[in-house]
Amino acid sequence: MKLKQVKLYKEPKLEEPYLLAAWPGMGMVALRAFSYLNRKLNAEEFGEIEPYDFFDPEVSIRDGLIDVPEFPENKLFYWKNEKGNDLMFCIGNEQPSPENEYKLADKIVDVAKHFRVKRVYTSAAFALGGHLLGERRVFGVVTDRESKQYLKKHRVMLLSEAMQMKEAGISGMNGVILGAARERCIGGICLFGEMPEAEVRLPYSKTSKVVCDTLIRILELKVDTQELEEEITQGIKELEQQSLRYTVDYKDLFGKGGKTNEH
Amino acid sequence: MNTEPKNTYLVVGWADPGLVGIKVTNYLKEKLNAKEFYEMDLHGLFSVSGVMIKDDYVSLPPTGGRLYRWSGKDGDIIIFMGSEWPNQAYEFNEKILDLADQLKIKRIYTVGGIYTRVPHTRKPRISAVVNKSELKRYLKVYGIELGMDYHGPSSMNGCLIGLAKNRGIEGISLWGEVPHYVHQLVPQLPNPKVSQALLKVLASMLNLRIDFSDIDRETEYGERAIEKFVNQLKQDPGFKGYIEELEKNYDEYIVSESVESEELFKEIENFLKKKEG
Repeated sequence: MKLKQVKLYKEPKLEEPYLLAAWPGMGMVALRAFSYLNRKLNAEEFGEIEPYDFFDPEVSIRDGLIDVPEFPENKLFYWKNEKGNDLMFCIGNEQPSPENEYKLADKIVDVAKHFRVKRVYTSAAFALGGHLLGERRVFGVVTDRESKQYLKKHRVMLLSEAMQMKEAGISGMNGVILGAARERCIGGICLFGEMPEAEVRLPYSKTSKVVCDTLIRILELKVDTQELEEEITQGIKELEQQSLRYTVDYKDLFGKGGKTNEH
Repeated sequence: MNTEPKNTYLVVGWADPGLVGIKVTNYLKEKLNAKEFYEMDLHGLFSVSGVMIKDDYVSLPPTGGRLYRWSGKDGDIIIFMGSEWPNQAYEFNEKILDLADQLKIKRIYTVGGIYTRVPHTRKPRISAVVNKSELKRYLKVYGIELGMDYHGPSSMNGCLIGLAKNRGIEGISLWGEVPHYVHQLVPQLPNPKVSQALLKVLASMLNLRIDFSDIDRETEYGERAIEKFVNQLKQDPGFKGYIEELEKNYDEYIVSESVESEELFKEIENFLKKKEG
């Protein structure tokens, strides 16, 4: 069966697969964790969601010469699991505009239905004010009872237990894909990772590693996250060095005796 | 869903100028104690930028596609209130009309506010558009003269009754004229005086006996809020003169021609620019 707006390079035979879906979000938590897993499992790319109905193109012009317009990507990967549920990944490098979020999510659910996906996993950062002392926790929310039982079985706290919160929200595709999955009777889990608010706009966060570790544990995968930790540590170090450079420049430009204080 | 009796009317309103549409439909729903009986699946027609979590369960936010029904002696009234316009207006209206066909709706009333050059100090005027010539005579009974000439982008209400024409469903769009110099500058400010005037006309058309005394206080409060805002603008004698001219035109029964809201906005913008000058 041909799926509209979906380009499949091959049709892998998947056994009760789980779909792991991620897009850029706060602290790049979901994207970094899921992309790392995708890479370490050496998942094979097998398709993509055609972007034309969901995104506007971007163009690059260099020295007066324009390139072919580019679109954001939403690529599909799969990994055959000899010891359990196969995995599918949908990795997007940009969020669509709000008018197109549901449409894109619904299209991905078409793919999930086609491959008989059993459950969708996503992740999101849970931003907290102030500093975080101690370990960063991971807790979950679900679309259905079965997924709730599954989290309990794997000793993952629920949001209400971790934060004593009855109501919350998830913005963007990392949330909408679950809502769309639920509408079409596919179960879903979102793993929240605690994160200090200061990291919300940064591209590196230790929360990515704790989320990845939790996912590895509950999916019973054999993946080492040492490399991820090094990637994050190095990234944070570079950000610190950058901000130090900016501070020096700032003081130089605007501080006492600086150039703007000439008069 | 059950097949409904013959005399079933659909009333549709949106959050539009002066919030007239949403106020009229909401008031009607509350006053008649209309019960929710159906929710349309409107996902994909509205922007969705996140999901809700309640008691650890994730769900999409409601799209506001709820319909309410009241059953009276002379027939049923079904009410739809829209808070934001959908991305896909044509598709949305076709969905509403599919439902109208199933429910054997005799006539659709749309209600809303329209920006015009009317002064806030005068009795609100109600204008209308119909999708069948015979309805013009019907509206004359209620003192509503039709004479609008317009060609351009359509509102949700205009689109709905225009499409209803294709399906042989009667359509009447009732418009409460709101002073553009108030509601274009402060879109979130409601105009209860205009809403009340439109409600009275609609109730009469639907043969509803409603005591409107409970909204008199809201109307007074609304008028005070608008007056307070206008008094700030009136500090400029030029603006004071502008309102006086509108009052003169109104009193001399000069029909406020249908003008695109963009042109009205430019009028105010130019006036304010001269003021800042």
